[in-house]
Amino acid sequence: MNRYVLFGLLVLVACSSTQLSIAQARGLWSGNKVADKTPPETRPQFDITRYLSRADREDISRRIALREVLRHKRDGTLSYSDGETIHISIPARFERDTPEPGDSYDVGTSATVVTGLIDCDINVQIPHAGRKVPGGPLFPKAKSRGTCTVTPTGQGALPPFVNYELSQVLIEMLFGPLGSPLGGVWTATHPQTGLNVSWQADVPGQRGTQVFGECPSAPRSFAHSNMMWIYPAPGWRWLGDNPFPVGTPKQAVVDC
Amino acid sequence: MNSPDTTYRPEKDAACAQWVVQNCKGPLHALHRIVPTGFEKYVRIFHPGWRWPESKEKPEQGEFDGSTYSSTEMRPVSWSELASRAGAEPNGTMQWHAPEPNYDDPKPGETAPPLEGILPVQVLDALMQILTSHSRVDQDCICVFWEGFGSIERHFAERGARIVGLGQQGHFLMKASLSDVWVTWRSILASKDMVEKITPQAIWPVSKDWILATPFDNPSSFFGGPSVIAEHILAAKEVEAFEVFDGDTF
Repeated sequence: MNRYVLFGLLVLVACSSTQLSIAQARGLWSGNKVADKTPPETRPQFDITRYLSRADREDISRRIALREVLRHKRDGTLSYSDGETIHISIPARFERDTPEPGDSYDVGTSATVVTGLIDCDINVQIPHAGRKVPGGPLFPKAKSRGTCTVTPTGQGALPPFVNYELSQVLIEMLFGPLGSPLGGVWTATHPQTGLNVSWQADVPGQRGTQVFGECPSAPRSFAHSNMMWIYPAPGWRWLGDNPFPVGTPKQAVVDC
Repeated sequence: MNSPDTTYRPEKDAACAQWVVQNCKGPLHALHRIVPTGFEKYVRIFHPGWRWPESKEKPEQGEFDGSTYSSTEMRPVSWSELASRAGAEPNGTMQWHAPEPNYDDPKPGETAPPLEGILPVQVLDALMQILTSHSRVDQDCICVFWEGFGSIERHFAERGARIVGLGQQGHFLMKASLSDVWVTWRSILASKDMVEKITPQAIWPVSKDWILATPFDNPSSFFGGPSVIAEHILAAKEVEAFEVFDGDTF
């Protein structure tokens, strides 16, 4: 069998499993509660994000970012060169969970669904050559920075905090005939917890929100894509999509 | 706060930067890739590292930025001090070799690295005082902005010409008086806004007497110009600076 055909089949299988895992995740969001008599340790979990590991979330971010980059590349809408500040306003719905014996949280007795508005301003750089430390070797890299705030819009108190994860994905723009990635794909995950949070790029004494790749031997295009995950404090479910892309991937040539 | 959009006017004529593009050559982070050849003297201005307080009880975790220390509690530390502690002779090509701190749980007295592309306000003020004592404050300056900042399109409804060759990737040309550049630059540095920070990567007066570059990807700034200004910068106590030469890389 031609090696390209074989490779393509592998990619199709990989893509199908990606779609499936995302579809499964999304399907489970809207799942209904099952019999309360099921012991806590065996009852189904519906807030799927809470039960994904960070590695799982990174893997999903990576797969979605690759798909988005390829889609934009195919459509000719991949943003070249310019960075971007993205403002996202998401209607937020948090549902109170019913505590079960053994749960360590108490969510009170007021409204079961609390609504709010999540406003994020995220500033996304184009990929460029840069350093991890001053004077160190060069890597392809890109920074992001920004803020997210939650404003209540209805009755009831918001969850005490929200877990945000800004997932940066850096993709070397080298693809096989069927869109399979032939170059590197790197991710960096930046969690923040609170109702109003920020990601810093250049502030004294704080880790920069940045992702690094590896320098190819010749100048090459890289794309920088950002994904946001949201999941609330224990005792709450997030009734929304997860993750959601933050703007269009940014592409630029990196010359190390 | 003075906004970039009201301060800077688009400079549509790329020819005004041709002398910079033509005279900026060499590997990334080489002196003359950052500032053009042809000036009498060149100075590297070191952005300081940042030290956590030596003795202080850690405050409760802040709600907003999640940091255990506020950045306002950090104190600047010079490269020369670290070099001297390590038994090295400070010089213009010295590199930062302090170990990376644990940002999540910094120890008192630990030092975080200098910031790329951002001059501290005190250093900017000292530089601008020197520059405005040698150049007319109402003189127009060409200001270049890297195209890859996420906030370019938000800040400038209309951009100037794009140039390639100064540092890496492309930059846009804008224009403003030297005094306006100073006021806006410092107000942006002093602002706590996380998203809006955008400052020029290089400025030079239309008279082409000097150039001040703060590359977005470098923890130093660079000056090229007449010896008389360079000597003032080298002597300024607020500024850690050393003379640098053709062939130096950073």
